[in-house]
Amino acid sequence: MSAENQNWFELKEVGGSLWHFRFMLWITCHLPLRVVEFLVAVVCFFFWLGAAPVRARSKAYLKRLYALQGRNIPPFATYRHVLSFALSMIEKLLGWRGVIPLKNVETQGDDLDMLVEQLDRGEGAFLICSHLGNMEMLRSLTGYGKIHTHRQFTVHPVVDFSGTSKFNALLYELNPDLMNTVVDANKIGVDSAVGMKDWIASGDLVVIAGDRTSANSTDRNVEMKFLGETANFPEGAFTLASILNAPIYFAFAIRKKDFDIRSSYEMHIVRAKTSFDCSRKERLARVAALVQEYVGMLEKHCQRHPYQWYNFYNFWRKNF
Amino acid sequence: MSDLNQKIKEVIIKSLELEDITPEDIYDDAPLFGEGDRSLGLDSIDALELGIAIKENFGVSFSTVNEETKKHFASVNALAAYISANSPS
Repeated sequence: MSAENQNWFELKEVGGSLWHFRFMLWITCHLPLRVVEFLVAVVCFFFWLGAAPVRARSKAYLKRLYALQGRNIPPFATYRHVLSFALSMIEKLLGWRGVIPLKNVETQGDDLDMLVEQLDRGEGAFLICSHLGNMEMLRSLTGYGKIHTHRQFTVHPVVDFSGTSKFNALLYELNPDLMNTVVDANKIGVDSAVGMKDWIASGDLVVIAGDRTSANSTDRNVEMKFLGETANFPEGAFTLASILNAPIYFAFAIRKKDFDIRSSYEMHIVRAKTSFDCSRKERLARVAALVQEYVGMLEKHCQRHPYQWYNFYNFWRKNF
Repeated sequence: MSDLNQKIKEVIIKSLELEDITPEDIYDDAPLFGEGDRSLGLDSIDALELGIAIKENFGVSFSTVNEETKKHFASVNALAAYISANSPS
């Protein structure tokens, strides 16, 4: 199997040992962010030189994206992609330490107000996010406190832990309480759907990414055109939305400057037009409509910030 | 056939909109999930919905330990036993 065609869950955890992550955490905590960014850029350069498979997979994405714009891939684009990803890991560590600066979030005058009003009324929602930008910024919704939402609630992300065990161990150390609100995507069973429904009913948010196919069941995917070619999207995430029958929002938080983690963020919150007040039979078509809405939005944001989409596997691989 | 078993079968059929299947077609002791001649052949997504339907109709929740829950969903009989043991009424 060529490197380009591997699934992400067949790949080894990028970056290797826990020691690397600890070092990363140490510099993040002890050095000025400007210095951290510089160090990350240097380390990334050597990683990029040595990681041909990562380069190939990054290229698989970037070449489709730029082809759609009628352009060639800019020089060092795959390096920039890897660097942007490494910076996002630093961001994640900062996020888990609880240092998310709310003042850095720029709202867009979209459906955020609708979501906030709903949360204030004590109603929860189902959010579909992506591997574009910084998902942790969504946590800032809970911290809005005085600024936006006036009620305490919890964000429950559904996360696939396979493949990133070491990084997750570190996140757990940083903030064990936060880890308890996380749902393991590989352990979703009868109880979890009930649990999620209860959370939403009690006014919490359940968040899932819509752009990564499951490590467990490679067969349940929805095919959708993405950046000009058919790609697989996870049916589970969207079907979950249909089962829970809660208001569905799409959520994107993107760094305004790709390579500056001190940059401010754009927060996009858009209410899905698709709803699931329908029979089970009709649901499949509605799930497809929901995926289409989502992919349209993802594509638009990817084009604006190509380097912030962190899916380093071949999304367009035809045969599973 | 006990009333509870009958009711569980009705909930399964109604919540999953199983057409062409009557309660009589579901065996009390046959597996609900997976392959097999007598299995109802439900899948993981059906399981999520069924969990919600059981909670709404019988008021029982399930443990977050997946293996345990799987046992309770093994057959209509297993579900009935779990519901009678945990039902609030």
